[in-house]
Amino acid sequence: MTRPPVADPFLALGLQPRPDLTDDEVHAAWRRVASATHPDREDGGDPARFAQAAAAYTALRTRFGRGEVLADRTAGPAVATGRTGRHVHAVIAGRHLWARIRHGRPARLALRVLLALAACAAAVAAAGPHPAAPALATGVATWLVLTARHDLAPPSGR
Amino acid sequence: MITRWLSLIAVRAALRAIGRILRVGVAAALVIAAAPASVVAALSAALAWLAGWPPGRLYRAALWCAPMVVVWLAATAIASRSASQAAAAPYLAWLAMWHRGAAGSYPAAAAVIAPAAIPVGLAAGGLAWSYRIRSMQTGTGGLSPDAAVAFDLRQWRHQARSARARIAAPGAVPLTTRNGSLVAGAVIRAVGHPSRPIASIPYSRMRSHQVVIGTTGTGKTTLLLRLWAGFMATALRRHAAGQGRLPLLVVLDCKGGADARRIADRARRVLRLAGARSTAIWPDEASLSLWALPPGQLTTTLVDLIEHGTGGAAYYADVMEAVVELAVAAPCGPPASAADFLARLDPGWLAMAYSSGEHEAEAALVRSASRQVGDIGLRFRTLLRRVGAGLDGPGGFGDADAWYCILEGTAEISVAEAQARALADLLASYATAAGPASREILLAVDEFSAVSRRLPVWQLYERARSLGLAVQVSAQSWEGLAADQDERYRIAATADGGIWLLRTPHPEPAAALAGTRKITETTRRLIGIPVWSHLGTSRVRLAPVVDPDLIRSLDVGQAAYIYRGGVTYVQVKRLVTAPAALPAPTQAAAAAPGAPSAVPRRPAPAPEPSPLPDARPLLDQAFGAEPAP
Repeated sequence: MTRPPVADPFLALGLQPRPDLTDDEVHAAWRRVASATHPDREDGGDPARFAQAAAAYTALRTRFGRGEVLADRTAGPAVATGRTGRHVHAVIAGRHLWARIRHGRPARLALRVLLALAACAAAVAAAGPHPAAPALATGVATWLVLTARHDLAPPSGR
Repeated sequence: MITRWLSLIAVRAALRAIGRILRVGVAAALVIAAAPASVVAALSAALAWLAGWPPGRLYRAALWCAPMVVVWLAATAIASRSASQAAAAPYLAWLAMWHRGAAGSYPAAAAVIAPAAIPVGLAAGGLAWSYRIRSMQTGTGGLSPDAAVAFDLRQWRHQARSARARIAAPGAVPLTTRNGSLVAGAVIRAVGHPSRPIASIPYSRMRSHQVVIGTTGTGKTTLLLRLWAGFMATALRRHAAGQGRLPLLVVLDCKGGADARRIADRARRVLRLAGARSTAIWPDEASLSLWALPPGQLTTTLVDLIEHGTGGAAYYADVMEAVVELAVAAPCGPPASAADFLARLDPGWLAMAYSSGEHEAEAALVRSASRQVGDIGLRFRTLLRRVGAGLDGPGGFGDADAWYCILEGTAEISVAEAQARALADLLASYATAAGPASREILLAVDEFSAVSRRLPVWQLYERARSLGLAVQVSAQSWEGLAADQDERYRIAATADGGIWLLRTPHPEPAAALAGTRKITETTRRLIGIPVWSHLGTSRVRLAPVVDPDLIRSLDVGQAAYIYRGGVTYVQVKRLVTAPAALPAPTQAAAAAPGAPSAVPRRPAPAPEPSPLPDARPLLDQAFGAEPAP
């Protein structure tokens, strides 16, 4: 069984996401939404919203369920995994890298990259057309690769 | 004669002085000749001193210069169109450096020699730093008698500062390594263990027993959460790769109270990030069924839940066991709930149950025990009411990835003891019954000594070992591990997965388990206060691997991991529970075709989405049952 794709079960029932919500509060909220959106109403109700509320009530009716949903909220949005294809994988990888940068230390990373670029430029300018110039650029790049990962958030699952 | 002797002494002293001057001169000439490498060596050694790095770090840095050196040699060969020129590149670069330096072009001089000077300088700096550490450790270095102690203290401060900086970097200390080891934090110092930047332990050690000792407020919970999350993440990944079974983490928090509930909530969040799909918090949110135990085990467990004494009371205990067995093993099957069981503790019910004529012996037992059955029923009614509904509900350990069980060991010891006993029996039964489909179980017991009067930890240990469970016992002190010294040693000495020591006032017994190591100790003659001479003696002696005083002075978040005669001091990295947008690890399983699913069962009901789900049960519940047409 999988969790229904309700964006936010609390929102679907018009509840504040609190850990101390009682069963009665959830039940009352469900009654309120269900009576307003039920498809058997004379005006036809709102079947989509009713379905969403029903799924939300199923998820939130027990204290265990509410705890799990609250934990889900802090875990962040899940990344789609069912799609395949090179382009999609590249998009996902790019999004992951961006997420890792965003949740890491982007300012420090930017400073590190700027420092590396400056060191590279200085080495090339100082060495001129000497074999040391590409070597120093390689050295700076190695340093950047080895140290920049510390400023990124850990990769998925680690 | 005297004059001649004096002149000989003067000549010898002069020769010695000249020899020294020559040695210093040659060394200075070499340092100047290899000026770029000397500068790099001096800087790198100074940096290692400042950051408290081990010499190995400088050697590794020298090795990481290999790409630069390769590119430099290749570029030299291409530029000169001769491979042999590449062999002479260091000499040519050295010459070019002096020429450009003489011409006043210092940046150019530094740049042309840098590809050779940096790796050589780093290696030389590592050697110099290693020599310095060695001389200070053996007592041959330093100018004053307390130089070695001051050096060690200063290095500890530097190492701790570097470790704190390392854990502050978001990507420097991941939860697990690529090879599936669990990362606890950054290494401060290692003795007898390999010195690496991050402290990682192989997953196999989480499948063995571990002991964690640390007083309140030292970061014990942070360490435990990290280890649990690491266990969960690694086990799920191994399962997804087809290398292991699904994990099950069971935490027995024997302190209880509001604090336990906060930790439970945190545990759920970090385990969720580690890939756990569901964490059941017992008894607040989820329940287990004691009545799912096999009848024989159920009888034993129920009898053990009730305290019974010795002497005359032992007779009563025997009667109680016989009555409980009659109630549990009735021909109609074992009880399904507490109410069912209590209903059976009635002489009339028991007589009726065994009245078929095929159970004459049991019927006779019922008749002889009928006077006590009411009292026994009363005791069980009281016990089961106090134990609560947590053991009377549907559900089993297989329903979630993790169970956080809160026992009110501080407020209601006897109840918590009964709960602990029942939970241990339920887990043992689950581990036994699951067979090949069983899971890799880690039982983490926090402050079990608070409730271990009727189930000692060592007994739990032995039982878990036979069932293939790993047990992680944590306590606030050595004394908190068990009731007596023998039991404490039994628990600590069999911790194959290692011992974690945080700050604690009496670490000596646990620290002694790390053993001793050989160190060289040098005594030197004082030639003035407080200056030492170069004369003295050295001897080898045994010193403890773990310094108890260092354990006593650990800061919050610092821990010592003792394993196989070595110790690694770790700055534990706290898990941040809300780094959004990091995908769940189950994605790896989904991406790997053919890999077994890492998604376990969930206890919470969750219907498949549909445009209009069947809401009749919910509507019936909300608005009353629909009248029949």
